[in-house]
Amino acid sequence: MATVHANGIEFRVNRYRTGPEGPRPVIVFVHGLAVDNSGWSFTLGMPLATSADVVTYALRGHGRSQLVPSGYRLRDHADDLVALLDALDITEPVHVVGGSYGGAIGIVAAIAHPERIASLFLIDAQLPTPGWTDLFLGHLERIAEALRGDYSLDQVMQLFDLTSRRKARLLVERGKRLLLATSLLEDLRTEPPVDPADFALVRCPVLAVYGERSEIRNMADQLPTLVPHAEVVLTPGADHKATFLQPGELRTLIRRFVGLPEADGGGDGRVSRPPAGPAAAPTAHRDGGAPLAVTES
Amino acid sequence: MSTTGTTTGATRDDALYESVRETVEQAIIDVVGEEFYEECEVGLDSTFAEDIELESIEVMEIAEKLIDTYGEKVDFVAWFADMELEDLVEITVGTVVDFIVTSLRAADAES
Repeated sequence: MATVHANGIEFRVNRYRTGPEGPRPVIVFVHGLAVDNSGWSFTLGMPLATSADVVTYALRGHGRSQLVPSGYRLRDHADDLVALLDALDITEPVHVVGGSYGGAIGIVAAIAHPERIASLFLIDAQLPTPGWTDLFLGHLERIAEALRGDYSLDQVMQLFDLTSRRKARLLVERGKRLLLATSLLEDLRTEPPVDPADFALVRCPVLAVYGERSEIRNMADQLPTLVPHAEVVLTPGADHKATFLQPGELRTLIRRFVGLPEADGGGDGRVSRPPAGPAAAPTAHRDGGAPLAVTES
Repeated sequence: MSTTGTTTGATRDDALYESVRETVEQAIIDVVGEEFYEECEVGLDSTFAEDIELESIEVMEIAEKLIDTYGEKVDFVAWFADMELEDLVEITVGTVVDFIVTSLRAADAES
């Protein structure tokens, strides 16, 4: 892990590459709100690093990146992304994999910095359309309210369905830092939706995976009306969280979308799904340990 | 100390193994603290996810410390690349030590 200074902020960045020498496409992962880059560094990043140059980083205020008091709008995050690419001396257009809120960051980056984004692979992505923050903002507001209260660790464990006191303590510490000590909630409340005409500025290829039972399933229908060339794949039976819990299927789709060789690692070899087919039902029920996965937004 | 359960051919009774085990233990302690480490009674069979209750960001930090220590001789990225979600959940201290020892021996044999 390296600490990289970009856009006035210290970001913690992980770069992964293993296997043959030579030029490769660059894939940058952009995670969602109130989680960090570690979970999918293991499940998606490292496996794809056998044939791509992979970059994962923690958004401002998240993970081990610097907590800054303000600047939590989509354009701030999109500008962070491009500043990071500059700082890493990555000049070629990159393939962005954006999950949930990270997908919205990817869309704004593709609108604001089209020359830097080669493609967008969206995983149950939020679309910044009117009312888009309603669902997850309400969830985050309730968490913030709980954090403001003097809850015991036992109550926190019960509230978040945790069995570890240590994890509960870490969750409270992290939650208070991000939700109570920054402008994040206020920025979300006041963030205007992206103008529909601006969505049309997304020129790069877009593939979006949505859970068939996702809480934001409606966005799977909205996307093609906003970005007509976007392809949408539905994951049968999956809700928002479960869509992320199928890394083998996601890797297969990413490989095909980005144009990487078929699976050369053991994990991907287990996927026997036909090209571009819908992903199978979840085979595991952990998310690699992302502690705030309940707030994946 | 258990001498069973190795999956990668590492031998658990030599100086290299002991050295790697101490390094892995110290990397865990650096991340979770001595007190919690003792509380968990961490051993070779302890899983990172369940027994030590590590979050994925902490596992990543431990992996990075080990990558810094062993460099290119131990290809953690290729190792993790070969795992599925359920494999990741089952990783123990012992499997990490075994992997490092096996990698170091293979690297020494090549050089």
